[in-house]
Amino acid sequence: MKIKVEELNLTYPITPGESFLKKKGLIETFIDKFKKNKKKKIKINPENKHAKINALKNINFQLEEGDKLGLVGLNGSGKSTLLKCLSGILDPDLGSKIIINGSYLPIINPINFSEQEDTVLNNLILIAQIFGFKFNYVKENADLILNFCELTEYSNYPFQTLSTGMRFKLIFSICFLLKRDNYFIDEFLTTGDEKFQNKGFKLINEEMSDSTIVLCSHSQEIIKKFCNKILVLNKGEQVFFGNTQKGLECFNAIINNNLK
Amino acid sequence: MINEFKNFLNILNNHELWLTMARSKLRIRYLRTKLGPIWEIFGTCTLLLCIGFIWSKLWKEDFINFFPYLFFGYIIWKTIVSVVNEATMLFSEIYKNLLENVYIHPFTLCIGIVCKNFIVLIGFIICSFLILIFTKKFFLLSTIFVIIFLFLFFISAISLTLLLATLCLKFRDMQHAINVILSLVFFFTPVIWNANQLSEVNKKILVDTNIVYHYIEFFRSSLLFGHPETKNFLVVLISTLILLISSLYVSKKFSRKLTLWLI
Repeated sequence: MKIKVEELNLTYPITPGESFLKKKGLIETFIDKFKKNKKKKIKINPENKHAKINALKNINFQLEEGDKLGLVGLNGSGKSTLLKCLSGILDPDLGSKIIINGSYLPIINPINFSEQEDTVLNNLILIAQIFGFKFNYVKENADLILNFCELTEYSNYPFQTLSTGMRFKLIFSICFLLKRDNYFIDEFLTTGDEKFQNKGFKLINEEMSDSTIVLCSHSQEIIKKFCNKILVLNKGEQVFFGNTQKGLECFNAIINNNLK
Repeated sequence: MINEFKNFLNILNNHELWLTMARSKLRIRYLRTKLGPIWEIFGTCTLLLCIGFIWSKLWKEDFINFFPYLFFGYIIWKTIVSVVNEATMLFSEIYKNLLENVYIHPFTLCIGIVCKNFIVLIGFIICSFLILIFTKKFFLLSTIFVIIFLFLFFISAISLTLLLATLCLKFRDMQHAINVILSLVFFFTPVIWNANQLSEVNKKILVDTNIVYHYIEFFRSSLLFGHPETKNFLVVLISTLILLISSLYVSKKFSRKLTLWLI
């Protein structure tokens, strides 16, 4: 068993957009101090209560070594939230159980935390270190990574001069050439050109056969090509977990139902 | 709490990531400039030379005595302002994207940003020693006390950054409130004026109760007189301990909630 998720629930508060000072906060607390002995009028304002969202409800699944799980669902169904829970970015509710054996790497909008004005090489080193790789290991493999993503000649260019596709190639190469046991990938594998996609899938199939990957995607083609298991989510609930073909049929039923 | 402290020491020990982050931020700040962070030192020195010249005339003080006093105080104040300003935006703006997309301990981000400011401060401290050598006031003992000060100041700055960054993420008004408070503290702290210009009573009320003053005075007296006053040393030591314990508590209680507060 590589990954086990049991009774995973996540509830998070939606902070109202208004100012802290306006809410039951500094000013009211201060005024209340002076009104201690006066009779207070009890105001009940439902809008004041923090809104809460049950983003994930009772998710259960287990993955073995080498499993490739596709996460599918409509927008807002909780796919990215589930990936963030697996990656430790979001803290699930009490009672939820997540067991991950081995190291893991979350690939969720990694381009967002690059330093746009810094060089490609410096960004490579920074991003790889944020992912938890050691400085010397990254330095040793920097040439290999730049070669694989065909960006050697751009290594001293500012990162912002790269196109979206080129940035994707760089991040992809960092993530898969510096290996981890488990990967959690959000909407990532569809950005590069077809030539690089094929090269990337070849690398994953040949070199990453032992790695367990959880991939979130809207592309049924990618899921079919890449995954042996599927988890269908709808409004935060687990609708299906198992065989890819049956899972996609279930997902299509949700889409058709929504269209009606 | 002990686990959190061990965690803090581990993060400090794994210096590769926070040093890379600090260097990266510094590189971007001075991108495409030939002198880099030396601009910061050059700009401040020029400003302080001008202010020092005028103020020494205004207060009828000897420029050679007044300039080191002004310089040593101002560079610590400048670092405090820089640390506090960046702390107020650290989680809500500077590293928002990072916190949303990868798990990284908040202390790593705090140490990185404080380290960036300390790299500039070390440049200023080298200038300070040059000034002391030039004015023939160099004490060997100063070096030991400056190292002790830097250690305590570094730990205080990291702890304060975590506390302010968390507070400003939860309560967005705080960022603006802190900016107002900072400008007031500048006028109440003897950075460019001398505490001895006040009467004893006023000094006790305005200066002795001001923790920022004790940090500045620790550094300034170490360089000017070879050692800090016991009072300054104790206040800095106790403040550092209180800040560290508070930041460990906040980190233990809220570090996993930061991402939720970003939503």
